[in-house]
Amino acid sequence: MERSRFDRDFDRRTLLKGVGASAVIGATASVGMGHATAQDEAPTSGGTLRYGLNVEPRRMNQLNTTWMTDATQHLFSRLVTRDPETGAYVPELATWEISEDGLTWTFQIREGVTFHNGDPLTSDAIAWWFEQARDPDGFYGFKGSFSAVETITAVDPQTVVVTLSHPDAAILFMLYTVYSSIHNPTTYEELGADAYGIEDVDGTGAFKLQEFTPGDKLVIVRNDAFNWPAEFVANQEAPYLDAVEYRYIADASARSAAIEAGDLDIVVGPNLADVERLSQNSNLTVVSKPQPACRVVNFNCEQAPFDNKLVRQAFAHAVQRDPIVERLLFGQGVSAHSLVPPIFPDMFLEETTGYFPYDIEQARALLAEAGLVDEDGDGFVEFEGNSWEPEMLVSTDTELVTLAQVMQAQAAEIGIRLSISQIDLESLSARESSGEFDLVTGFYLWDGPDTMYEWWFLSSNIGTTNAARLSDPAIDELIEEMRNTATLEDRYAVVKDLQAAIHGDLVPLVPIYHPLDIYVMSNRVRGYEPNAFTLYPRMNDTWLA
Amino acid sequence: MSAFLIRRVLLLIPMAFVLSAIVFWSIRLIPVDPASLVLGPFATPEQKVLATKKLGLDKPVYVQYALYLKNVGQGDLGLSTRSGKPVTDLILHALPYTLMLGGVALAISYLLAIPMGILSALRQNTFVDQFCMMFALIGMAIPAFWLGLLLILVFSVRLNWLPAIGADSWRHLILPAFALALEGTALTARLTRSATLEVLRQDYIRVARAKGLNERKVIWGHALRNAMIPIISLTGLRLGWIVGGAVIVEQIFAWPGMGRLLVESILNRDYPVVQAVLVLLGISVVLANLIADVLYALVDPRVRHASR
Repeated sequence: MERSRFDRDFDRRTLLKGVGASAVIGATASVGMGHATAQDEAPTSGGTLRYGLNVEPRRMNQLNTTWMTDATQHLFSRLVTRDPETGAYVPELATWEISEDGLTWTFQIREGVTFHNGDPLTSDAIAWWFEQARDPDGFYGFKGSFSAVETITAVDPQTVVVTLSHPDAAILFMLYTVYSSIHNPTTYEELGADAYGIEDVDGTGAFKLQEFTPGDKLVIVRNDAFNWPAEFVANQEAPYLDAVEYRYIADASARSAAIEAGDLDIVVGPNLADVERLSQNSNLTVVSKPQPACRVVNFNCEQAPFDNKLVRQAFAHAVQRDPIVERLLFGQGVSAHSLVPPIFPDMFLEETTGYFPYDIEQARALLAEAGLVDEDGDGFVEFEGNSWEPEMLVSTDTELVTLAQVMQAQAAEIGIRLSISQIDLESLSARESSGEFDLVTGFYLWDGPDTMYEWWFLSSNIGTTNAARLSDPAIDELIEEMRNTATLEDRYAVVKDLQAAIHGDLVPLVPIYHPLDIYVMSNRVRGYEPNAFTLYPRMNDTWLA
Repeated sequence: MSAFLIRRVLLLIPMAFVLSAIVFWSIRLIPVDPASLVLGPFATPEQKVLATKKLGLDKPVYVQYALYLKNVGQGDLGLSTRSGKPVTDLILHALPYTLMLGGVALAISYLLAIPMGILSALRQNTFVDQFCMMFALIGMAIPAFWLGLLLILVFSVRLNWLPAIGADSWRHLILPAFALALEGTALTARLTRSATLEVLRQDYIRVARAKGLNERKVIWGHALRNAMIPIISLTGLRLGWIVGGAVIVEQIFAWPGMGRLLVESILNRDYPVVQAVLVLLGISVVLANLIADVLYALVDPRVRHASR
């Protein structure tokens, strides 16, 4: 049952035609239609696309902040990108060759590419970027991802050779993210790291920055010189749109109302409760795609009795995900059984969907095996003869409080009396880092879910990112193996082993759901196709009818 | 009168000083450090330490405050930690929008409220009175965020007469100004009514009527001027309230004013901006009250004499 639902929702070929066939009411038909129209009509140039954001745009210098805004996707290009249909890594600014041993990466940079100020893109800019990214005193957020890099050499104006101390296939992923956007070193150094990304940016993207007024709007305009998109992009010339105007609207209901009123063309993240109404509006199209994200509940694996994996497994058997997705997300999500969402078929381990199904009997049996039984007959199990009331920490976020309440009810079914503590974020993260909790909610949004296994389960990350405080030598070894793989195939094989060990046996956390990204578009928008492999859809094929 | 004014203006200086100190200390009591909000969600602990140092937040608070005062003395309000733009630029961008929105809202509320209040008083206990006071009751009970959304749904989504968000033309001003004006309209209408009723019961009104003055002269020449006194003192308070109320209205209508700037800056622990905006708001509330006092004195000769 569960399996077939995944297949329908996440089949890559149907992805673009409107993923949430079952998830988004009435969306499939209209998206399908939009798709067909886009092919029948000839695109027209011109117009300003008005885009409503749910997150405020901030500085756009990825070398000193990890904040991201949709516009960065369009202002910059990267060396590598991913094919939206297959997820395969394909050239954007460069082709690459990796030596047999995985230690030498040769990047051949595309000719004829220019920065927004007209300077040609050469190997110097690429080499400069690598140096900035791994600068030990720099503010680049992902230095660790390039720790294998040993030397960077600009061999000739179009060639850069990077050597590694050990093979690391994940570098390809990092190079594809918006965090590896290529900047013009000359402009960057003229403006300085603090003003760059605020006053101006100089990239090789399809759009140029025109105006950034924090708190008001962000406007990007067409880069007329642009003719170097990746191969899969239909429009190989400059974008059709004259400009894109981003506005941040804090209130989700106001965002929905603004697009209904025709003041915006695209809105990201409407109120989940509004989605059904919006999808019935014939002027609008609602498209959803699964987010590369996961909501989880972490156990404290150092805290008795959750240090016993039998107790964690018992808890996992008690969790019913469907009612949670219904109640919290109004159906706008998908049950999760692994940190890896099924939209990444190369690394998703299908068996995970069968792990620890809802089974009260089995859960009680496991608890009994761990010595947790209800002897005083109050309906709740005791631990070492005393009544046991594990504490679950949540922030005051309504969605999470509801999640905790559902968890509380579900745990009660197997005789676990869960108490809920709502505390402010700062206190929560302090108690999380020091391990003063029994259960705590967790979340990631990151398009490289494989990396999450390293951040969340490596024993040396206890106190920082390893919230479940899992310390397991076999897992540490697997993570080390994953970091040393020469090819993505090898890496993904290890990721699957990790999923089997983590979700099928150790259960340091229970994955609950993968939320959906929801876009509401006016019907005049054509060729804007959110896809699972980019957090921010491209705009080169987008036009206004 | 002038001595009174000078004294009041001079009082602004220690007031601004005390206010800035309170704001400076209290904002630093809010949990979540600004460095992690500047660096973003993936920052490492080492980077947070570096960034905290760069922002000068590693120093003791009194040292930070001294440095801040020194910079302000040189006319430098600092850089916004969130956007990196000079605080002065951000305020100069937002202030005109807020003044425009607040000014129009205030004008709307007076244009509606004063005639409504007087009419209610003159037609006390009639249908007109009950209608106006029912409106006032509803107006005070409706929260601005709800009214804002309702206005958008009716006038933008349904009727498509006015834009829902943004600040690009005078048409963008109408809905937020009405949303902001309603509560004040209700309050002012009730106050005008009770003040007018009060005045109409005074002996001098009876005298005026006994003198054989026509009703128009009695109302406009004698009653109204006296009834205005409480309304003027309310105005002083309401100028501060206009900005406070604008926080919510500006968020709903994506209006780029001071209220929105303040909220986003607080959420992002953008200390320099919060600091500057709050002190500026404090000063403007005091100034507004000062202006109200001056108007008071102009309308009411008794105040003028007493303050001498």
